[in-house]
Amino acid sequence: MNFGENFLTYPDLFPARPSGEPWGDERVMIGLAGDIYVYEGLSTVQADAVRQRFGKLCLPLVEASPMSVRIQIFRAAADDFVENREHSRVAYNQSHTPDAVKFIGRRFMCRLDWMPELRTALWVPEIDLQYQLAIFVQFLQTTIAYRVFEQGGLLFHSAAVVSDGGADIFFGPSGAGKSTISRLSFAMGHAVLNDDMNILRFTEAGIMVEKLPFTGFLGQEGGGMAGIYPVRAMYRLYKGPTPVLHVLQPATALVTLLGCVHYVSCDPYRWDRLIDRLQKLSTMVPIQALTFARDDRFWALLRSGETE
Amino acid sequence: MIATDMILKRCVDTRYRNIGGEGVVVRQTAGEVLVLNEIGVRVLELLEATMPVSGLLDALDAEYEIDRPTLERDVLAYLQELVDAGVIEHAAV
Amino acid sequence: MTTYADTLQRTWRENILFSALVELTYRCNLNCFFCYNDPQLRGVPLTTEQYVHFFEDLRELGTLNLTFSGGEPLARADFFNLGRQARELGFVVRVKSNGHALNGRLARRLREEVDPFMVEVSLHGARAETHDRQTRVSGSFDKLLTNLGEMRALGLRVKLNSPLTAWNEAEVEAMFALADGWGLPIQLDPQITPRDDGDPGPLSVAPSRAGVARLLELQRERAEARQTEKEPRSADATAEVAGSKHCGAGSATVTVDPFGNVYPCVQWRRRVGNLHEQSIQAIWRQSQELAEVRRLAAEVKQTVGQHGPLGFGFCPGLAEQETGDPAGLYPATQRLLELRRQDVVPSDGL
Repeated sequence: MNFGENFLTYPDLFPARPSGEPWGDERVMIGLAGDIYVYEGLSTVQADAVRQRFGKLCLPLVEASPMSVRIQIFRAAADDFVENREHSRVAYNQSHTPDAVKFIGRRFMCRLDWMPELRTALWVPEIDLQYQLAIFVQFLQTTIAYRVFEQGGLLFHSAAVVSDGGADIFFGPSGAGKSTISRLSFAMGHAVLNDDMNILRFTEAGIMVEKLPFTGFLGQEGGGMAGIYPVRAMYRLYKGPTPVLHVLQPATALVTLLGCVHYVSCDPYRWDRLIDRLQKLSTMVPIQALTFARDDRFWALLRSGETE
Repeated sequence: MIATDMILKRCVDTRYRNIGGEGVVVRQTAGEVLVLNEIGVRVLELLEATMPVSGLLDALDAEYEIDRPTLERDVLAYLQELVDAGVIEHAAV
Repeated sequence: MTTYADTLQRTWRENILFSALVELTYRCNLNCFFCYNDPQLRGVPLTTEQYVHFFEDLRELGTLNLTFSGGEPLARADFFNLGRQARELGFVVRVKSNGHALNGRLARRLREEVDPFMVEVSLHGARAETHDRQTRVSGSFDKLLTNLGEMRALGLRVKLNSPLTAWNEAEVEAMFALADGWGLPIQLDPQITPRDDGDPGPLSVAPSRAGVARLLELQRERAEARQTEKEPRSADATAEVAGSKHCGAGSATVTVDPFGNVYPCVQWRRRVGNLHEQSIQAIWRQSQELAEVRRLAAEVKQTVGQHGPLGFGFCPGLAEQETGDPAGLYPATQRLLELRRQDVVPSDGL
């Protein structure tokens, strides 16, 4: 199947450059993870919704620096998109070249271009504002995933719990228990950096974790924790009746880690670099498997470090 | 030969505009452009409504001070020219 | 008997708005290196209703030619609605498309619903490597070739437009041969223009002096061959118009960008009004800026005329953009003058 065939009325009309008709003149600047992301071309209503969504992360408007990442929002038409009941928000088509990445999903199309600096553009039709906002947020996440990757880090689908100045990272596919273990940790008095999405950075001092502040539940409303913390260990989560810590075989570890790197893991032009980075990660921090029950026994096990 | 009971219409592939009394007619399929005089433009304007040639003659008769036999002779000949040029055609009734 | 050229001259002289070019959107499915669109231009896009009113006003003003351009005009969501309206209002409709998406249902809809007089499609080279290098979309050449076949089979009238660049100038003969093989008219334009925001970036791929000379020579040969065939005046041919003005910019033509800004022509980006604020009739009849453009078009005729007939190449819009003076000689025309001095181009133009 050709790119976009399942989502677009005329797939060959997919935009090849960040241009079109903006919704309005409004801009919103958002500061996070050491970068500035600028939504451009918003209507007043959209800009208000974005400001409300990102709250304190919004910066006073200044002239965007060349280092900031522009996210241009353009109008699409409802007719551009094929309505298909099977389409969910998470389903999308993607296409990659060395200097561009394109996505098409239900009622959105977007592209990231390296010109050579990263510039992104998103086309959405006139739809419910909350749905538009959800697309804006999702696209920002995609943009950050690539931005962080280009900077040498990883946007990692995970929960990060901070204690004694260090962080434990819990990961696994949806349903593995990231939110559960975050709540349990929080109840035990530990700070939760974010229970859904975190940024891993490779530094000379080791792997550091930084939360992606607008995602997850506990990340926004929980511990209110901010900052950058050294990663102590990473755990692939399983649910079970008894807490057990297992050794994770390198190949299994790699595959599981890969599954938690959204967007970039599907990009053939970044695949080699990603694999290298994940292998490096596994040499820099212990990566284990943790089976846990809905109680606080897992914590003592983590601190003892005893594996089966 | 054009008869007064015929119904004519502008050919579907022609486009025209009245440019200050002159008609510029484009025959799209042939890619040709023709310039019509004042009467030609008026004929095309009148043919926007369905009417027999006799109705067309009546309308022109009311607008121009020419005796009827001359008008009929000249206009019928002119309509034939327009048919030959592919600007107007017989309307299927 | 009045000729088409006489009528065109009248439109210039009497300020009859004969042709309008409408840039419907700057969205585009290709990313041509030298595209002149200003990517930073902002404003409120015209609505469907505003376009329809504009078309009705144009008809009242006597406009015959209506060209849809972009970006890729087909990427505008209501393109077919606007195209149908234009057809029903009796315009000679041209669609300037890159042709990349003109296949299957889209091409059929264009034929059936809009029935344009001409689809002007861009050919950027005779080889896939060259074409795709310019469009910056891989596979675009092969797609265009397939689409041209489909368009012709559907009965769409197609013309090829090709900007001459440093990248494709070695393929000019091959491009003519391709067009001739398909039986399609082709027009190669030796002038690469700066972006509409003044960015001279596109000029970095401007054709070489030798490339321009070769093109002009080929064009002359082809024009001579056509003359011997005694072709009838084509509705698409550019008439040589003698008169008091250098060109019809602002006297017989306007260009409208997606945000309703009105300009005298596609290359003379001096804003003379905005359709959000005024109707085209009001702009056409009352705009002081437009009056100034008309005055300048006459002045340019006098000034540029001192260099001999430059009618085939000189553009006041480009002159103003590149030199700040609508009568100023800009590099491309200086080169034409130089070629003429060396007898590469005949002194009476082409």
